[in-house]
Amino acid sequence: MKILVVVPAYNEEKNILEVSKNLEKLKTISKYSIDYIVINDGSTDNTKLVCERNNIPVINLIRNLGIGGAVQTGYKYALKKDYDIVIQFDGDGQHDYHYIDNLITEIGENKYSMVIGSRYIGGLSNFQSTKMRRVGIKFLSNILFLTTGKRIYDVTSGFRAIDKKVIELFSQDYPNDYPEPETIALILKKGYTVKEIPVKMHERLNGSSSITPLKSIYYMIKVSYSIIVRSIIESRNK
Amino acid sequence: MSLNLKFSLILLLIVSIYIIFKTIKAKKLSMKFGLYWTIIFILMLILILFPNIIETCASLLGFKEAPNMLFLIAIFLLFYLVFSVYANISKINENNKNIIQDISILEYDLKKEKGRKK
Repeated sequence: MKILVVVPAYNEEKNILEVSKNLEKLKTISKYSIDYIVINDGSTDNTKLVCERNNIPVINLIRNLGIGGAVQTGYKYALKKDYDIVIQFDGDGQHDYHYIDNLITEIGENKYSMVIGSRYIGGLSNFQSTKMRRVGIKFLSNILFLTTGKRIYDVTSGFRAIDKKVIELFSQDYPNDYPEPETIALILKKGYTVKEIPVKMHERLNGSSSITPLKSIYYMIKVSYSIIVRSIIESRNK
Repeated sequence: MSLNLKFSLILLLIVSIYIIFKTIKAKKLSMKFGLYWTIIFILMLILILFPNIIETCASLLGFKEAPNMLFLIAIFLLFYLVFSVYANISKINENNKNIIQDISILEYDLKKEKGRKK
């Protein structure tokens, strides 16, 4: 079983070395054989330099694509190199590498197609995000429940694993911005299985989130719209 | 319609069609989109030459005033054109994204291959 950890990174010069060290550690302790690759999304800081100096495997996008395009590059690379499972793992240090094995097990042994690492179940995570953001996530979780009938709590989590079928699907079709909740709707409507498991998340090491308060209203509308539209158009496909 | 107005409008349309041809020649507009606009201008030309067509159509369709019909048609037509431009931009963005991804992956593979040979 070939496993690839995809690390999207945009201006993460301060975090990427730490993240890669953790993943190197994981390679030695994991019961699975794991590779990882950083997708440098046209960073304007020294992310590229830091990666190359430290021999971190990195695909440097020749132009900035945004989070969706960057993650999808990882999926395309995985498809090309015949990987069986891909883990999406943030380059800002929010995600805890100790839980990667748990994600893999749910796919490898329990045959789920997508596994989501969740802050909101199991009580492992001290970091739960701000009050406002939690309300927003709850709202999106409800919309997803209404349109697909499946309750996922941490719909915006970017800590997730997918199997080969979904790698193929995502290589063809992946949203450009705010992809996480929409892709859950896509997967469920296509008839794949999704499981949410508890993980620990930290506050980001350095830098700030890409979603500013000003953008958050647009974010809510756009994500709600895309979940609803996905659940309509994808069910018609069947 | 006064003869002067008619003449000015026809001149305006001929200039517009000339601009379209010039833009096509400079390879800044594709034949396909040139065709759209040319057809629209030719239709306008016909309506200027035979304004009775508008009056007849409007009364047949039940419009109180002929200009109402014209505005409605114009708005729908422009709406359609803008929508098709949006659709085209989306397609171009998608293609552009795929090209960037493919080149970046190829570049990485190439670099890895070089490293192995050394």
